[in-house]
Amino acid sequence: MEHTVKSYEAELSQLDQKISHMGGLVEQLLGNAFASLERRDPRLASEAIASDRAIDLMQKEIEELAISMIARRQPMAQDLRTIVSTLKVAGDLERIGDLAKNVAKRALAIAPETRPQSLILGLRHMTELATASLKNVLDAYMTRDDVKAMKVWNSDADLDALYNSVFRELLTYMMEDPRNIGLCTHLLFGAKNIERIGDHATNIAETVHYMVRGKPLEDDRPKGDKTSVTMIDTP
Amino acid sequence: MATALMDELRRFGRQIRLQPMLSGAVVAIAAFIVIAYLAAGFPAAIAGAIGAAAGVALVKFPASGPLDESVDGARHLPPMRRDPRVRPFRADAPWARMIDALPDPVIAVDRDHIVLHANRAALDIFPSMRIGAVIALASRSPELTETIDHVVQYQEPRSVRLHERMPVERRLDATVSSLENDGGDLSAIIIVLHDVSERERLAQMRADFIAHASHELRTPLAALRGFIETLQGAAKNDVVARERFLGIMSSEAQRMSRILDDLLSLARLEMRAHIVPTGHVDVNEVLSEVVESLEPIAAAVETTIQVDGPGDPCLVRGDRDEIVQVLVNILQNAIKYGRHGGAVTVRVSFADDERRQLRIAIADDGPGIAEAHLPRLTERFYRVDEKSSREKGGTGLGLAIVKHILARHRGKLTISSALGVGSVFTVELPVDDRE
Ligand SMILES: Nc1ncnc2c1ncn2[C@@H]1O[C@H](COP(=O)(O)OP(=O)(O)OP(=O)(O)O)[C@@H](O)[C@H]1O
Ligand SMILES: [Mg+2]
Repeated sequence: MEHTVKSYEAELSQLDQKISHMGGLVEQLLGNAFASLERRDPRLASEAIASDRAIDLMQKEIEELAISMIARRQPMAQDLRTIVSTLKVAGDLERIGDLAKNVAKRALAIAPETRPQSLILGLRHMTELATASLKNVLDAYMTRDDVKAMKVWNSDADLDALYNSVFRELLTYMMEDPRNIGLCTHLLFGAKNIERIGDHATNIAETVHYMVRGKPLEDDRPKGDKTSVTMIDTP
Repeated sequence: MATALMDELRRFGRQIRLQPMLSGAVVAIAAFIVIAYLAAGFPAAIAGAIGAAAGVALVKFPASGPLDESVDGARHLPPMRRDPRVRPFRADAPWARMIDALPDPVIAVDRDHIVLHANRAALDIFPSMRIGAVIALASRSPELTETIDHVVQYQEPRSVRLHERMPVERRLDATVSSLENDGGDLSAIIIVLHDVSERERLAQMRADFIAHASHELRTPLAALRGFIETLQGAAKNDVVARERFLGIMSSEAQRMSRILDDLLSLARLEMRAHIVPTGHVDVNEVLSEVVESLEPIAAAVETTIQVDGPGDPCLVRGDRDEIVQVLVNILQNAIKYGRHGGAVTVRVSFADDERRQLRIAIADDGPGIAEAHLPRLTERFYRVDEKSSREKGGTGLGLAIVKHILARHRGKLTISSALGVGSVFTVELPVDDRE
């Protein structure tokens, strides 16, 4: 009996380790994808695109382990919740990987074109916020820290506000000169992808809340109160 | 001294597997570094720390009970799921004290990647790391994860280059090795880090600097050339126009040199982004100096500055010149973009009951900033109204510099504004907790 309980714990810990590993791969992909866009580096972009495969494989592994645990052990309550949550987190991470890969693909497409510095600075700022959310929410998952998860959840409004501002700026550029349209469309979708990465980080925050509190988050996110911009948080 | 240390190591029967020195840098482990530093003439600190266990910044691994509280709101770590095969670790292991004495960041983990011990240097660069929790809280770099697994399995040292992006971008060389006890069983994995950010960042910085400088200087240079041509031609003998043009030219030239100064200070900040400042600064004292220096420009637009503080000294951990720069930049903006004849207030308070964070709120009663611009203000060269900022001699780098300084100080900036009411720029800085 004792033995069974113990190796079950070990399996759960293995699941966490896999999520952490997958999270690390996704963080790296996001970082490289944006860097390849900013530095117009096609090699880094291709590298980023290729690294998405490892993420997909990792998700498969997590799914297989989680499903076999459910089948073999028929966990109840808290344990079942944890395993199901892991599946959800892996799903969101996989989506984030896809979105980041798409940024790298756009980086590849527009690598030869020169672009106004200010447009890239807006995207860089968005990436910084998304990267911070991703890190913090993964940390919150690892430590089962609901408070930290809720902070991430609330901070998504900042990324949305930033996206709206970048979006407007891009539109202005397109209207000013139709020759900008091709480049700006790629950047627009790039920005959209980063904004959605934030949404998936928010999903993970909700999952952490569910794991810790045992019930889903109810109230809707307060839509960006028009004032606060939090740039750097104490990690 | 060095031999005494080696003896001590030997006495405890630890055996550290060393890797051949890498790239000439200080990448070897414990004993090696100690010896190297002793030879280089740093004996006092290390001897003190090792001799009298009281030494530098000890972080202990508690046998049980709550772990340390994080900076941003008290909380305890839930027990981590642990592999039951792992034998409990003793924090008073002699090598733990050795780690504390080392100047380079060193982290010890177990085979499940749980952090057993870390020295101050390591905790400084990874503020989200927790003793007793997985090292992934510090770095989830896939290379590090894989390297630790490799060393656990084969017990042979390995090196790897890490690229961290949070909380600041940083590149680190990590040397991962295993530490066995007398029986040859694994007792810890030791990770020695060496920060190579500076080297890597240099090339990138140069490129950025040139791109930004050439881009930003192009417009004012074109304007200057235009004026010069006019003065040589059409306005050659027009005394009134000459006076006016020379005035504009002189302020454009001043602005150009400010752009260069600001870009340089930004570049310097970026170089040091990964180094946590170590000085202490009394915010009250700095604030009164800053306010005094800005009184003349405030008086010129009939604006008053009022400071509201807790009176007693408020020490924060930081670099004095940089804190001055933060306050000057924000206050100057409040005066520049606030109302003519307005009131600027500075309120100093603690952000939390535990007095861990100091809060400095700088408010003006000017026209405010539209919502769409708020999140963008800290991007370099971003200006709400390019023309008005230019007329006021602005470069659009002030808040970018503020952001960089605060990131390095592990601080925080919140901007809130309502059109027609005013803006509040709130800075938070960690209170100096060292005695
Ligand atoms: N208190 C404020 N009220 C209204 N707008 C502000 C305020 N502070 C900053 N801004 C806006 O933010 C922009 C960016 O400020 P920042 O300090 O970065 O640049 P700057 O003041 O234009 O140039 P510099 O500070 O380098 O001289 C300003 O151009 C201004 O439009
Ligand atoms: Mg300014």
